[in-house]
Amino acid sequence: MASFIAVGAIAVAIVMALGCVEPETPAEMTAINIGYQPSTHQLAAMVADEKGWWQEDLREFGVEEIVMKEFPSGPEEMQAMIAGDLDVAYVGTTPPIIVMYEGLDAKIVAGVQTQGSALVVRPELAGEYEGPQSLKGKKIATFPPGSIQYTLLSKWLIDNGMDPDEDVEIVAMSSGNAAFAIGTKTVDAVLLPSPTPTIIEVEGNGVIVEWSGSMWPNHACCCVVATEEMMTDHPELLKQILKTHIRATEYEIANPEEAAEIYAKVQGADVATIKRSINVSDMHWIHDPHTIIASGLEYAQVIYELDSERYENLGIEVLGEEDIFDTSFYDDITG
Amino acid sequence: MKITAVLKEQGLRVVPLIAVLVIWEVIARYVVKDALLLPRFSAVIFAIFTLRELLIPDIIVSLLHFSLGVASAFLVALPMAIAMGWFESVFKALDPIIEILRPIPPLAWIPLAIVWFHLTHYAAGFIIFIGAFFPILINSYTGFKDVPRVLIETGNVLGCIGHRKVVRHVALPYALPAIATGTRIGMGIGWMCVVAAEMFGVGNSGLGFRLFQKFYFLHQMDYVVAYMLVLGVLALIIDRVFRHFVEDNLLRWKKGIVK
Amino acid sequence: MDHKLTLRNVTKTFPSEEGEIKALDTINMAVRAQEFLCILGPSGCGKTSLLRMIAGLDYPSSGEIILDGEKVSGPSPDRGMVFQEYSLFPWKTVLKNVEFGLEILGIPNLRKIAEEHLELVGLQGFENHYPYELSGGMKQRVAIARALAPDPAILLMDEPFGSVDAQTRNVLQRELLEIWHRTKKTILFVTHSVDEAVYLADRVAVMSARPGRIIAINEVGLPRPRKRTSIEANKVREQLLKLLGSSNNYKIE
Repeated sequence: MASFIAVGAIAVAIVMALGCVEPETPAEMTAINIGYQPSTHQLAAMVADEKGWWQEDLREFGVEEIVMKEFPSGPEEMQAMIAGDLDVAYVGTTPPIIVMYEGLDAKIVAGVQTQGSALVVRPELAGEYEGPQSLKGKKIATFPPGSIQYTLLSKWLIDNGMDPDEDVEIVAMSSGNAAFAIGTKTVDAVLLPSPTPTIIEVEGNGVIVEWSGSMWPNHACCCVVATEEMMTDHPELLKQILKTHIRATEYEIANPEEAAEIYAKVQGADVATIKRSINVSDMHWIHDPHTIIASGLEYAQVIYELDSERYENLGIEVLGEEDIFDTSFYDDITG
Repeated sequence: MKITAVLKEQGLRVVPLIAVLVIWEVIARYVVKDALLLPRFSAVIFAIFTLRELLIPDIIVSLLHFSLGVASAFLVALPMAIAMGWFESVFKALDPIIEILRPIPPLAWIPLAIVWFHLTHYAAGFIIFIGAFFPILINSYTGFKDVPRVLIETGNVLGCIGHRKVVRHVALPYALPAIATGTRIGMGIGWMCVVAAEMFGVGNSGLGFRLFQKFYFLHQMDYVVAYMLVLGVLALIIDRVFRHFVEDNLLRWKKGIVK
Repeated sequence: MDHKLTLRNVTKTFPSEEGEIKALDTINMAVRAQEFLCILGPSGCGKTSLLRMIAGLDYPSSGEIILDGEKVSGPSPDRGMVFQEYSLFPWKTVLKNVEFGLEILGIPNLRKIAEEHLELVGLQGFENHYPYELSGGMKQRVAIARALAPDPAILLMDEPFGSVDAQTRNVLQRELLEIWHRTKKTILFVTHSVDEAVYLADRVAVMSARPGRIIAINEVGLPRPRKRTSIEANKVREQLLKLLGSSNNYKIE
């Protein structure tokens, strides 16, 4: 009995010691971890990286290493941020909001783009497609729960009188797996961000029947999220990151062809297909967070409703603007 | 007097368990203080209560996948084990193939499972099949190989002539404990594969499905840990039930030998 | 006289790296009905191989084995066999073990016959015990009951008391004689123990070391019940030891 207590006490002591080891003063950051996803939505991040702007602009703050980390979708990206592996993330608007509901202190500090996802159905089913009702009983692959695409799909189905749990079968997959799945007829439809819908169409494995803008007009899609540590300990560095982001965004808006070539190079895709995807998509690249506040708050409400039992049981309330956004950094550099 | 004795004996089992739960609660509440990293034990118990309506269909579906996988593994492995354990030539022919396939982790079969069975219950059952198959096969054929010659010859002189009679009357009863052990181990591994099998979206319920496709992506860690506990407790129940019915009743005689 | 079992020119050879090895060399022997015959020889002389061939578990390279006028081929409950140890089916109760031969033969009334044979070996009351609960001596009694239950023409015993302690061995030997008296079976008993052969047998066939040959078949000639330490018994013992000593490369007790 005595030995057991001794072992137990030692175990507790070790864990408490580990838990208390935190840096006292914020050291200078020498490496910065930027998360992103392989989609034309987030070309700004890839452009800044390819053109060496991250390296150039951040060197004066002592940053010697830029680590670009790729994730298949937002929820996985946020998991990395929770674990402390990311400082800044290019991610959809909904994954960070969900994590904020669970208690993470990150904030959205800039916009990246709106709309730009598409619903693709198998060629054989395209002819009979007349709207959401045609999806009844079908298997749809999209990004995991918490992502923009999943939330979008769920809300769109509900708005059209369908039950996302009963009337369809939604399966979570990465873009690559989903494209493969629709090609092998394992699923009937996919809802994915550009350029994958165009890639599927070009390969003959599907037909685009809806762009997300028609499912939820002007919905915010990707944004820039910063950790609390970045905002509190490295505000000047964060502001420079936003400046570089603005620069990259303006550049890609002005030079979409070159942006497409950069994407094709970085992701190993076909240049013509990527150029086409940018042309046909209803996406808008942006950088001002103010333009997505309204949409973000709508998301916060929808997310709350989709899982209200949990939030009510835990005494969590709908998030407001101050909980989700921090536009002060953007406002400072744009005056 | 008697009560303290009972308490002491059960105490050794129960007290450490309670201590762990208390330490968990304390560390989660006062040290880690971040539900995203370590949810509290109390939060997990509350989550189980909140999820009670989801839990029942999820448990049933997981048990369905599990039964599909284990039953098919047993039905395929047992005849193979009899052939391999009884006939040296069959063993020599099949053993190299088995030994190459066996170390491949069940999870590595997932892409093939999805391509062959698409996203259906059969795909999930297949992964569990792979997990359960090899322990059942190997333990069983070892049991058949180990049948002592004196028992076979006793069977012969008492009228069991020919493979079928000897296998039925002598080898099979002798190998039954080994088959039971293999099945028990196979079930353990098969259950561990349930989560892996379900996390790739085969169908829309099941404990693994919900854990990975929903709770994980939504970062609802208290729900995640709640389902982890359910998975563990179910495995314990399945194992104990099996042991009670099969090993305690059918295999009472083995107690005398394994001392 | 009616011979129950005849061995005619039985020879056993088997191939090895050095060419062919002769294990048994031209065995000729006749066993009388209802007699108790011991095959006595040193370890490795082939006596067990000989018994196994009579049981049908092995085949002679040349020669014949004839039981009740018919050639022997393959095992059968007609030639009951008691092995030295570990031969009881551990998953069956004592009763079910004894019933086994009857079950395979499809004989009705198995339970009654089995119970009778358990009584014969003095184990009534132990029907529902499992082998692991029995002592070595009790296990061998069950093995004897099991071999006798299908009413074999001849009972073959391969050093059946070799694994039990000396006291139990003496008891079992006495009991075996009683069983033999009651059932009037022909018994062929293999042993390496001169004392055992002197106590039990009507006749003793003495074998040489490999290649196994029958050196002689001697009548013991002592009335039963026998005293193990009598002068007459000692005389027989001496005779047998001399016969055993007359072949080279052996080890006697």
